[in-house]
Amino acid sequence: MTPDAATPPVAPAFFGDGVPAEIGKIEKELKKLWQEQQTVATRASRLNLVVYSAADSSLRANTAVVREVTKDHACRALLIAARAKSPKNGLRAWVNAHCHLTKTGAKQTCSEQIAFLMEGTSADPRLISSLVFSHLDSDLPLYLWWQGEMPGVFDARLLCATERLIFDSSSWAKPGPQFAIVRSFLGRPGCSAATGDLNWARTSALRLAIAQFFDAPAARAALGKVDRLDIEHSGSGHTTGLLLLGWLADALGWHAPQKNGAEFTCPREGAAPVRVVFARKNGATVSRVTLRGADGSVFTVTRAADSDLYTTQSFASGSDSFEQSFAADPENVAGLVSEELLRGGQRKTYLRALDKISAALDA
Amino acid sequence: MRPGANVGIRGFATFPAAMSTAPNSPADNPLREGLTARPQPKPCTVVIFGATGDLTMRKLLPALYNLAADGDLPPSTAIVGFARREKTDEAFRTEMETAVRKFSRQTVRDELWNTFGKSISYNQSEFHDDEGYKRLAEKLDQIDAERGTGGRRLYYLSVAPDQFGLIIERLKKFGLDKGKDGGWARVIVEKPFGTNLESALKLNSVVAHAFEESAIYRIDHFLGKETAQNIMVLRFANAIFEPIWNNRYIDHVQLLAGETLGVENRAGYYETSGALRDMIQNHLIQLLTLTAMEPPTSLEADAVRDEKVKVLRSLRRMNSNQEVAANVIRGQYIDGAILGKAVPAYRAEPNVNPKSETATYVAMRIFVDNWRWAGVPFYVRSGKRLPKSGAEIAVHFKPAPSVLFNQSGDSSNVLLIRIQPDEGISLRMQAKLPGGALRIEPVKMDFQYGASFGRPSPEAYERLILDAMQGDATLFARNDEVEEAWKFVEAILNAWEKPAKDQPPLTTYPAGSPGPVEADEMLARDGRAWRRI
Repeated sequence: MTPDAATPPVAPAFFGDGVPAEIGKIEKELKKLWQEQQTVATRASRLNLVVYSAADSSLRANTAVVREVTKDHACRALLIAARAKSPKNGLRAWVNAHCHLTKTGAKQTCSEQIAFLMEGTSADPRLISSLVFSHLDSDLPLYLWWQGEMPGVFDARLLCATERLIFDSSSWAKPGPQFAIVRSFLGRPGCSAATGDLNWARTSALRLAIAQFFDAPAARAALGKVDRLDIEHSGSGHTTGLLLLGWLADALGWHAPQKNGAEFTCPREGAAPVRVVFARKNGATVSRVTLRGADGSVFTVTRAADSDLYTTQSFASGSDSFEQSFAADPENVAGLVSEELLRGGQRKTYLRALDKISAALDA
Repeated sequence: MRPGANVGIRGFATFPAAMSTAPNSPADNPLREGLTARPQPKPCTVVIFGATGDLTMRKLLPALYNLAADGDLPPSTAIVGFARREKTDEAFRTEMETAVRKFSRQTVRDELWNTFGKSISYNQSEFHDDEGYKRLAEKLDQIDAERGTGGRRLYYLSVAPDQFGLIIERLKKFGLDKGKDGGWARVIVEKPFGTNLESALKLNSVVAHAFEESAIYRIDHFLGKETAQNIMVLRFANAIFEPIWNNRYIDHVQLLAGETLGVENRAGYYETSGALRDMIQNHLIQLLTLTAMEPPTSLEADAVRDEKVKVLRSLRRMNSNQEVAANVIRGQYIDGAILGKAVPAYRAEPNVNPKSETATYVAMRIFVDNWRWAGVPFYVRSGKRLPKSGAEIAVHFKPAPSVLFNQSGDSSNVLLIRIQPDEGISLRMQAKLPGGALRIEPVKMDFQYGASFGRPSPEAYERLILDAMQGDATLFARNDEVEEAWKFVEAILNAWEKPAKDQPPLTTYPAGSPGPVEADEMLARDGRAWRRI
């Protein structure tokens, strides 16, 4: 147990804090964990969160992330790490609990975590579903967060049992083929798993910031005249920028972006093509987006390094310059997952944006 | 998701037209489609009448700030304070900043305040002064042009009801009762919606003089609370409850809204209102209608409100003082102690008439005369200076036949819906005590919002202001709801306020006690008892 006291600072619960548990007796170990606790706490769960990773040290890192996520979403977390290159063979497990005080500070609520380490020959992705199905909190929805590259083959029963397949397209070296795999998952008959791309979640508030410029009638007139788009992004933010471009192109009726040297061009019906310039800058995933119109209007969203705010500035002909600040998208992965778990339904806008940039992803 | 919550879908539907006529068309912004799972209204100007008052500082501005900080308020939303006191925009902003820093549920961030604060301005005027409304009209036009609020105006009447007429009349006179350029004008009216049926009818007529019913939002903050909204979800999204939600399985229902506080500094208002007008006629009757109503045909505001009105029409009226005396207990607190601290009697509170007959406690037995609820009493009570503060609905099911287990005491299942504090739902069941003997004890299954959902629920005012901006009136009272509720309590008020030989007596209860013994006796006569507070 790693109780999170209200005021005194508490070290985050790390993987090492977990209690080793024998496979097959995990529920018993969890029960023991509850019986041994010294403080009054409530076990809470409203979903199953399965996190899979093949990266080294992922259990430690994911335990820290899950600990943050459970502040917002009481759940049973199943962490699965695969170390295929490990000289050892076998499967090990640990149980743990993440405890937080409720907002009233009156009660501690705890989310259970079971961590599995698959090593050597046991690091077989085909075994994942057997681990998951044996340890789910019954009757609660299943969110599967697949870290890293998507597998070419996915257990159909696990996929169909999943409410939302969460992934982060910013981590993919070749996003084109990876998105194609995701697309193939979505089309499976009898499966209704929705997608949850953390990279799309990174643009939620950013898209809102851009959209709000054009609520004003004067600015809306400038929307059809936008002929240049500049996106400044970090080293890992190129796909994020492309998704943003896909969203704008889809919403504004631009044709799919075409690679033009270091830039992109989006042709339009009855208007000059839109020039799109990507620039890599240190700082936030997307640190600046600028839309410029042929009539001289300029709309900019900026995020300073280490800031959690967007600042928007606009100048549209016929209206005064206007500046605002508001909450930016989370940069940390726990914040993004928390946001993702709040949402329901398929991301239709996302899928349309993806369609728009499919050729650009391969370029 | 509620209908209309996703503004983006409408935006997408109009997309081709929006693009073809974009330059000067008020059509929806195509970039808003599918933008967020959270409902976000179109930007508007919120005009608060009575902007220097307590409600604005404690609730309204903090609610607007929190909405902005959470990204739920369109950034171009503007706020205009309208009040009598002379002050500059800057002075008003500073006052509001101080208030928001004091009362906001989240810590105020300077960077956010700097831009949010710029959206606030002040319009000084007497409520009867035409010039003030002319200035307001100019200001609203200017805001529309500068911020893109699209001729949408939300008026919040945070003033005494006797000011409504003055304000509404002038809004109409200067064309402010309508939106501009395809926008809209809506008005939020704070309670009390009258002090009796006659005044409620008059009030409704005054507001209706300028605004369509669909543009009038009568706010009852109880309905903005998460658990109050959850009543419909609990009943109609869970198949296990609806089949047993009737007189075959339910023995009775208890509704409670109690507080440890006394009259505090509200004696002026409370002396003329009392517990019946202050809590029961609005808040508790609203909760009763949500508990008792039939499934609506949809979640559209009027579909829900139609069903609530049917419940109100089914409330058994009390036609004589004797019936009132048999079904309603009124009480007033005398001196006592709360949490070990001595507190004075109501009549000894500042600004209270030492011979006051105001009821600080009311307990009622209400029958809903329809097919579903025939014979099921709804026991409703509300009081000040009770041992605990809280609001809840307790559905007491009929006990299992005592054929197999010879159970003593109250063995019925109780479904408890806690409105505040610790919003949540619990179910009391019977379970066998471990061991050789067959001993049965009650146990509770407990769901708490705070435990399962780590994020704090928004304040009721946040939800309700956002709903009004979106044009969703589901959680607001309609004129006929208000009038029917007044019709129901009218006989009780008459019995209490018109001297007669058989006038129901005013009982007393010590501060810190659960209420007058007469209220306990009323339930005891039915073979029941109040839940322990």
